[in-house]
Amino acid sequence: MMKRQDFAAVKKTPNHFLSFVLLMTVGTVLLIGVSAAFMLFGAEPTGIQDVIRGLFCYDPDSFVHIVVRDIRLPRLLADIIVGVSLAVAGAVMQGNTKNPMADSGLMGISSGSVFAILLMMLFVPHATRLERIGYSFMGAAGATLLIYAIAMLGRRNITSDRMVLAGMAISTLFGSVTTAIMLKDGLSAGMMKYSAGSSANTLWSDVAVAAPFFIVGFLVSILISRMLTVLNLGEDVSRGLGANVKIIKFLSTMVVLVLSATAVIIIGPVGYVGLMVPHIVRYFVGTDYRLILPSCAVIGALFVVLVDLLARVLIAPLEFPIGVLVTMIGVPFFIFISRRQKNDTFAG
Amino acid sequence: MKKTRNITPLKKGIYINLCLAALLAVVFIIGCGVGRYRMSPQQVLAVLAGGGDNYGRLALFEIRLPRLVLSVLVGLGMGVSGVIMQDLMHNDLASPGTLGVSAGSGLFVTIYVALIKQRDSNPFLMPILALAGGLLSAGIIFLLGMKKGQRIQPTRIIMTGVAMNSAFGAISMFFMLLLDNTKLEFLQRWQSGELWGTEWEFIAVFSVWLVIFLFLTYRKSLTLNVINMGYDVARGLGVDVGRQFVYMSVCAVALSSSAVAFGGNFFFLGLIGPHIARRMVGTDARVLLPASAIVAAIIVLTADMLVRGLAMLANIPTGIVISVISVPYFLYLLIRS
Amino acid sequence: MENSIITQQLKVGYDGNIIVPCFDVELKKGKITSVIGANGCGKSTVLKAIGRIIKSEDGVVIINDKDMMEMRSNDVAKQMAILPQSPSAPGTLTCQELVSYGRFPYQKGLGKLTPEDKTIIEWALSVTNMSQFGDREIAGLSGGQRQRVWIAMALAQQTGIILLDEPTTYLDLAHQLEVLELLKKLNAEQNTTIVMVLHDLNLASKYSDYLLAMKDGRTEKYGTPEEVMTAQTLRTCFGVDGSIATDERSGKPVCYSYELAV
Repeated sequence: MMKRQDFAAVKKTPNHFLSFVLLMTVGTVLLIGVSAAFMLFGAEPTGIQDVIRGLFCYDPDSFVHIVVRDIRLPRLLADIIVGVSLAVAGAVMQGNTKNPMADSGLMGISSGSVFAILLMMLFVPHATRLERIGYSFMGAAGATLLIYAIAMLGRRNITSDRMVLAGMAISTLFGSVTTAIMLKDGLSAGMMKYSAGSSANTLWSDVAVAAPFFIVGFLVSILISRMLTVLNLGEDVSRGLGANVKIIKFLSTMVVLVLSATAVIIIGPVGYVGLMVPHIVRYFVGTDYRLILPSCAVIGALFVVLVDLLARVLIAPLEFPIGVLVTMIGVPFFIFISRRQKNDTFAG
Repeated sequence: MKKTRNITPLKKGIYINLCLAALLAVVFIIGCGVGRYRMSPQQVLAVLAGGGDNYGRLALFEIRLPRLVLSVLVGLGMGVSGVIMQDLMHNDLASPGTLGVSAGSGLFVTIYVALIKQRDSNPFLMPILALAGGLLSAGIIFLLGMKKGQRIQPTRIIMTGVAMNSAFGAISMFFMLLLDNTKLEFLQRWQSGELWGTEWEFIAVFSVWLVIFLFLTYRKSLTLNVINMGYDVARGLGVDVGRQFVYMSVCAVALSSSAVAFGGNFFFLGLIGPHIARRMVGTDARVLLPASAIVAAIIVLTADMLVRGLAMLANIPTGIVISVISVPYFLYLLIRS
Repeated sequence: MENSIITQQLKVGYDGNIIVPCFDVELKKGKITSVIGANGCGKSTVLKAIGRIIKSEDGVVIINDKDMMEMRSNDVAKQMAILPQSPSAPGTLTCQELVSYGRFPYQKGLGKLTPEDKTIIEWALSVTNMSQFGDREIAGLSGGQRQRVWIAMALAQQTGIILLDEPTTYLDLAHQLEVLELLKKLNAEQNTTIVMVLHDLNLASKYSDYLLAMKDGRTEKYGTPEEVMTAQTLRTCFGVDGSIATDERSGKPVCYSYELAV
């Protein structure tokens, strides 16, 4: 009887690993396909040849080439960066707050960034793009501090519904102060982009400034992924296993901060990606962060690129703000998860 | 060894309510004097009594009084609505704002402003739509929050409310992107909680509406007490929980939607009003309902006084002041409980 | 009128899952009956269905010779009180306030307490030995005291029948006995019919006139403790091999040793 159990335990890992490989392969193929579609479709009709020429034999005088290389390509990269960042940040956050509903958008971290960017627009109107990331980062840090303080100061382990409400309260706080300043100083129209979330008008320089932060954040997350898996077993257990809980918590919090701040600077506040993607990924690859994080990166990128493609073509020539569209997809998902969760508690 | 106390919690609650009402009156009169043309409480009383100079009368009756009365009415509606929702859900974090009922009203108003509103539109169309939106979202939230054949589960309803809140917000955002700057600013102000419906005709309709639903709610305060002890206990005591739940929910939505429609979106008002009141008078709905209504009214009056009195806050929607004050309190509640 | 509660072909379930398919029982008036059985056998479900906390899908419940489904819920509350498992109320309520809600079925409008109501509330508090705690908030009570206040609330309903779902959960030994002694006293003095779900077989045997052993939503055995507390019932209902003896103090059967049946 023991032997059979052992066998099952051994067999389980390759299973998850197999689905990981499958998920990565299918995800990557789809991502390439959707990215190709992203380059092809849009307000300005382009053929395959135009795209290829625009990418490889760039002619600065050709309007089509400019569309392909300087409008669509940076936007595609921006979407990929945002997708990876949000999904990975969500997965890491869910791990280190032990809260399945954690998401940088829902927890109000993005609203902190938006608030900081607004302050910057007011007081340092000529800030460079690098400085912009700095402000976004500080805003995200402020909001994160708040949400973590709430999670830790609570007498008992704070439940996920309370965590969601706390995030909502923080969003409201930053949101209303942002609105107040916008109304007082007539910045409404200019800030709407940052309130709605859109990757339109992304420039090469935006991508260039964001990329290093994104790459460092992502690499650190992969480096600590083994420790995150251990942390999932609970702080006491991971201490017993010899992990340095403080360092993991600090590093993972920094990862969440850097990645969410980078995403906000490119696209504005977009919620739910960090909630949905890790949940879908976990369904396939289980609880090992070494498998979760890379899968989240691929599926997150795929998701955001796909949604942005839809946002551009659904009501062309008009555009949906991607944040709106993601929310419309995310809400049913959120309701689905919260329903299932309640059931689990009931069964237990 | 029998110790008898002369003051029962109920009596104590009644006295506290009387004190709160007195405080409300004082804040109201002070509030009448605040603004660009300052008046002392004596001057205000003189004008109210029929005296005073022309300028004071103009400022008071034409500008300030409608706004103050509206503040009080909004407070009453939100305060009572919050108590009902918290008692029904057995959850002190429920409120018209957190459950997404206000956001439903907000969406309908946004669509109205974006697509329908003309200069000569019927002024009552907006409140009616806000009510319809509130009822619709409450319906959706309860339907989605409940599983078929299962009993009411408060946490699930609240989570659904939070989700619907952001869905309504996102749709509103989409419509707002289509707007010109004037309409955009009106909507942003309205969504952050601006007391805009200060025409006497609005106030008249609003107050009649409120009185009806406050009466319908207060009549059932004992039932609300029993439901607050748990659905099973309530059933055992002979309450038809399902039916009373629907009845009270409709009352709560009617109260909060009308407040949202005429006053604007005051997000946390329906949450902190009941909390502060509960600390003072306890959980008995017979004293809690009025206390929460009065506390919420005092909050709106005070916030509005700040907006009108402090140059720094001039021209900022009242609701923003309320949010900024109440969010820390709300977070404190989350940590504490 | 020998029976307080009769169920006929009662069918109950949650969410489409039928837990109790067809349940017939006649519970004796003025007696203490304990429902026993393994986890998930439907004992609480039956109790809740009788107490109309959950709606039964089919079948009849007769309370004091009247069909319960045809009575107003309010009138049922004047004949039968039910105490759910670990009930919760706002902690700031005083004992007196909590007990006063037992008068709810009799009240109208805003619920001003009549002198009669007040007498009954005081009586309920004194019977349960809680008089000196009348002004205390229930959050500050011990588990046993809290359970007694809830029973006092049920008493204030002035019913001939009281249903209790595991009234001794989370209580230590002494407090368990305290609660059960209280119920026994009520039964002896007021002739109250008491029906409860109990987990502890020996306590059930000691304090009950009748035991109702359930399995898979059906009655496995119904009778006096001597008839029900047998090695065979233990085996079929709980899957354990038990040794039964007679308790010298109470004269009732006890199970003094048991192990998993192979």
